[in-house]
Amino acid sequence: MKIEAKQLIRRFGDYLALDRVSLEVEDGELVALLGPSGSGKTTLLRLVAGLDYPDSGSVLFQGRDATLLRIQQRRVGFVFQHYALFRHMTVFKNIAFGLEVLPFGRRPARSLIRSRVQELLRLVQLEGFENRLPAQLSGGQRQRIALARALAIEPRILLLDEPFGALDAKVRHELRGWLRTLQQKLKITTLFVTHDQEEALELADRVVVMNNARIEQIGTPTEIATEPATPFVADFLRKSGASVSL
Amino acid sequence: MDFSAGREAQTHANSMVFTPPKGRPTLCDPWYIRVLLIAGAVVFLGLFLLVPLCAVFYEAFQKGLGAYLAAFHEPAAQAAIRLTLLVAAIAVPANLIFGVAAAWAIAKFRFPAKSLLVTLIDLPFAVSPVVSGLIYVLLFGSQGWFGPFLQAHGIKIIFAVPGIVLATIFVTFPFIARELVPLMQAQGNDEEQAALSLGASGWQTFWRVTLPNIRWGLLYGVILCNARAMGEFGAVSIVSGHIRGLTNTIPLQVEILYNEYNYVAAFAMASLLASLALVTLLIKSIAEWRIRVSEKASISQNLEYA
Repeated sequence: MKIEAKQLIRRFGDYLALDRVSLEVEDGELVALLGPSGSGKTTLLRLVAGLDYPDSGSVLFQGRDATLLRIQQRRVGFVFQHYALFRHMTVFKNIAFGLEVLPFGRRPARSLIRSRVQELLRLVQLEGFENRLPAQLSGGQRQRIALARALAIEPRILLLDEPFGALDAKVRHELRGWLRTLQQKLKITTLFVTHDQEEALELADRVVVMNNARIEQIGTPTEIATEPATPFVADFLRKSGASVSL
Repeated sequence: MDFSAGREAQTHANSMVFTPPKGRPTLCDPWYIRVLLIAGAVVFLGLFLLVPLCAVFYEAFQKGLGAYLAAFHEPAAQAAIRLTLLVAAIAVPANLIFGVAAAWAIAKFRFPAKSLLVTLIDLPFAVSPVVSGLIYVLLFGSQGWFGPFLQAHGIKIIFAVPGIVLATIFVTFPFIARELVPLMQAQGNDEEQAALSLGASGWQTFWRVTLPNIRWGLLYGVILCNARAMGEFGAVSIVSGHIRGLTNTIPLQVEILYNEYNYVAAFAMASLLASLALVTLLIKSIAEWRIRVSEKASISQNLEYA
């Protein structure tokens, strides 16, 4: 599903977190929001998700205004930075949550929920883990369970906040490739936040570079790497020591 | 983060440069200081906590089991027990709802005058219970602000059960809220936001995510609140009027019996409160242990995130 953000402004008190930000994400596209901390990338993601609302501007899903839709109505899959798995629930209960809270008429039968959870566990390659608690999983496993939980509601878009930020380098590399394959298989419009330019350039179809509440440049990884539009973009890529092989 | 490995390496490094005198560890006091400290603590605890507790039961059973049980056959005693149970049955659920609501608001939302709310919750701890009782007399007593209005409508609050319930709710208000606020603040909003993003309503989020996460802290708060609700003396004493069989709770009944030199009956009633305290302590230790276990789990979870 296509996502559009139009002239979004968000203030926190005196602090301007987003300054007239506009963005289009095409159906099935994988887009990275790249920037230093405090650049507004997470704020933008939260506005798209419906976890927060803009002071002005609008968010459109498939051309229809979604700015005032509540998060429950948006049907977005959101993967939190620290996964936010329900710590007192088993993996099974975590993944089934989005189905079990559906109103009586639309809630699938117990057996259907069971088979759906199994299917998702297969998808994230964690079959046999359904009775574990989140505390008994490794960081990479939690990340994949969080993704399975988000996918259980058959979201229209997938939003990921620093999806690999909390993982060590080796796991991060593995998961990166795996996420890319999965996203292409599901053809789901995906927006993810990262401060790691290597991750953004390697994974995304297009990269949105943000700084100081504004978008500096939007482009394909090649464009960003070879023709930085502003001194900031060039500087940011150089400073983070990008040795990007494209 | 592995602290023990670091510490091991450190002690190892220390032993290379500095060899402690043989026979005892370096960082350890001489034996007589240890014995003195431990003995001091044991004697103090025994004298001030254990002996009085035993004395209550000793006095209660002094004239045998028959006299002990007879004390509970008195209609006034039974009325006091009933009233105490009734007051706790109203005050504890009320504070359960208020406490959870207040803690939820403080821990999960930002709003103006939040620090005022936090201070207000602590107020009953800061004010002497006698003063809390007097506040209600001042408000609802026959000479009080609302006195004429209440009298005109035939509503009795002071020297009646409603006053006792009000005073008890006031005095025990902080227990549950104070227990929950730090716990809920530590847990943050992430899981609630995740639940919302998965389509859960606010109500479902509370019942399925928030409440299970705070259940042990909540139990801890409820039993402390209950113990205090049943044991409160000062505030209740002011508003009760000590009408035997009508407005006496167990603590007030104990005082009356004691002042009448009816020691066995007084201590028999007191033994009820003492038993309540023991049961409370037991549940409290279990709840504390469960909180520690779940905290450890969430800490290890957070450490791996970092």
